[in-house]
Amino acid sequence: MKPTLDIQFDREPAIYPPGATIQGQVFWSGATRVRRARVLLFHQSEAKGHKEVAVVAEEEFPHPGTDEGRGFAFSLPLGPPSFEGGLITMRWGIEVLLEPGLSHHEFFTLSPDLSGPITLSEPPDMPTRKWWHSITSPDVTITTGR
Amino acid sequence: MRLHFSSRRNKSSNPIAAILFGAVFALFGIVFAIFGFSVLRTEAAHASWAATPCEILHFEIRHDRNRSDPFSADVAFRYLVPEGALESDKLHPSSSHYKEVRDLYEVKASVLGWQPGQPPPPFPIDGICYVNPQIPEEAYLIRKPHSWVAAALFPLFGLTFASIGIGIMWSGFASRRKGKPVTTATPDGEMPPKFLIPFFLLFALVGAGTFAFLFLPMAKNWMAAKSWDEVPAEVVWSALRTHSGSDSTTYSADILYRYPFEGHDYLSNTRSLMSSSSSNRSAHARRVEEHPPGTPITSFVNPERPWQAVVDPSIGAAALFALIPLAFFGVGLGGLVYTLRRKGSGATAGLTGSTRSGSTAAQHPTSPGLPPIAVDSAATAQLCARGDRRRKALFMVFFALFWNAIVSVFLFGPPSEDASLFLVLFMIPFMLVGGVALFVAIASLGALRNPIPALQSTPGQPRLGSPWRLEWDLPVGSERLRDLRIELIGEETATFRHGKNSSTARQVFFHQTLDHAEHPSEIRSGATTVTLPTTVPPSWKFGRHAIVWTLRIHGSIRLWPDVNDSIPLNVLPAATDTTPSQS
Repeated sequence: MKPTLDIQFDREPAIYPPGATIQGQVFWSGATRVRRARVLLFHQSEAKGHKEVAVVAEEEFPHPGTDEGRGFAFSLPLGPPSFEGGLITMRWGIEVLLEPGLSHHEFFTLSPDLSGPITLSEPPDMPTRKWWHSITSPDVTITTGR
Repeated sequence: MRLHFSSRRNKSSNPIAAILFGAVFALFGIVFAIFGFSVLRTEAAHASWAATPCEILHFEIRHDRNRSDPFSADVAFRYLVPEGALESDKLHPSSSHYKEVRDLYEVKASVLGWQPGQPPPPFPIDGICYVNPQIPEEAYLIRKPHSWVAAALFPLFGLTFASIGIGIMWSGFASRRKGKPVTTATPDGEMPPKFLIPFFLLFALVGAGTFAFLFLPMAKNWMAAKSWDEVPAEVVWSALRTHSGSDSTTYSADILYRYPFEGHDYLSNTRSLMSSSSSNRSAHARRVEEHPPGTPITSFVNPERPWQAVVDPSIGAAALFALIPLAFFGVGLGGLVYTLRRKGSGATAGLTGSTRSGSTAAQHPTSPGLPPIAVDSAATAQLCARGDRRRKALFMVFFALFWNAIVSVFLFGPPSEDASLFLVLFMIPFMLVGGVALFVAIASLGALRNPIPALQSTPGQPRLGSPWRLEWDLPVGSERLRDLRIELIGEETATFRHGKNSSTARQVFFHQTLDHAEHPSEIRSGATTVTLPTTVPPSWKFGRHAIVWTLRIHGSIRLWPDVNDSIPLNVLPAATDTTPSQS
């Protein structure tokens, strides 16, 4: 039997305000052997395909079996919120790791706006930049060599 | 529940390519190291030969035009071992041929104790030779200078390259071992700092070392050569030398000339301070044809070491190549700073977490990248742009002086035989960069005299969704300003790597003009209170991504560099019911 992993949040849709507590259940079945089971709270920023992932908190399930359902709860930080910007997309998620070799993650939204992630866009009142400003503080700085 | 802060970066990278690249790198390094160790072993064996008193019977410098290393020493010395008196004619344990006759003169002066300005001492001369304890018939007179350094550098370089290659392979294997999890995925094919730091350090050291050993002695000789004695000389022979490289063949004109100095005849085949070869065969062949044996020429002789002489005492266009090590140094230093800053930013994230988790984070754990909350974050804080201006000015002045000093060596040195249209064209972009650098440096220095606004932020760290008051005061020099604009800017920034280059992209998501004063009294002092919206992210930086908040102050001054300051702000996330309030 192919092993299955699932994460269920206590809210639908999974949108949480900063500072709230996120709770949920993790289910797994069909694993032949589980040496260690962990659930992690993380945020992931992505810009043009490049991702940065930071683990914020972690909880370990003691004595994991091969077919289980376990609850988790994390206090959420005040920020950064989930957002979709012109450059960066920030997402929050929960990942369950079963060792050896099984994992599954689900994203949720951390936002003061409970309708969804914050959308960032260029403000309309940006002053016109002089050409020499692009030398002193350019939109894109290119560095040659590493 | 356990709180911790760690980072991973994901990107679709090809671990096989990394493994293969690392393997080639490591293989190259290992071959280099093996060769180096064999040279080192030979050097060590020769070093163990016993120092034995000897009599030097004669020491003559010979030359053979047909060899690429034409100079050798016809030497003989006698030494006493238990088996009896033996003689040897070996100057060095290995090859005793030299390309430059001045180097052989240096050896001769060292072995014979010959003082410049005095005639060579009469033979026999007491000296020290080195005898093979296993085969006493084998003996040599002197080790080549710096042979130990060269022998030790080979394995050192080889081992360093091998380590880097193994590191890249290890990184590739590690990324293959890991599976799909987001939080434990492998870094995106980049080497960890523990490999990058020695790599860039090596790069910078090699660049600085090569510059120090190549350019600085050359510049010193060039300065000294201005006072060398002008002496008539005569060509002994001239030959066209071929230097075969891995991807091209270059040529040089080797001209041996004899000159008298203080009652003695000396030989030299040094044409200029910087030895040069090029792929222009015909130019070097023509030079050889123009200098048949017996041609009278003028040489410039170092009176302190009369065996040092040149035909052309100028620094020459070829000296430009001596600047190449600076590029290596720059890349190494830049990479080192970049790596250390990246490493530092990771540490900051961890520190941030540990600082906060002990206090307010009992209710709200922080996440990596958020700014640390100051103990007195609610109190008024002073903001100042003076340091930023000084840093800019110092950097620009240093850069302009350094750049123009290097360029001026080529502009104001004595005219070289090689001075040509090519040299002039080659120098134009360097001169332009120097001119712009000088202009910016002067403008930066001028900007130091601009009025510095004293800014007060209440609270010291603005918080989203809470009122924030900014007061400014320009006690001195405000009358010079035609207007004053204070803006609050929020930007996303992301740094990308493309091969060996990196670029930082910025995208403004928040802009608010806090004040635009045009009346002198409004320029001199003022205050404004704003409430930042909660629907924007706070300051945050993690890895290559960041949310940056900046206070920009711009003031126009007639016929003078404008006030143009940027002050970074740490904007905190919006408070919740359980966040300690700020008064």
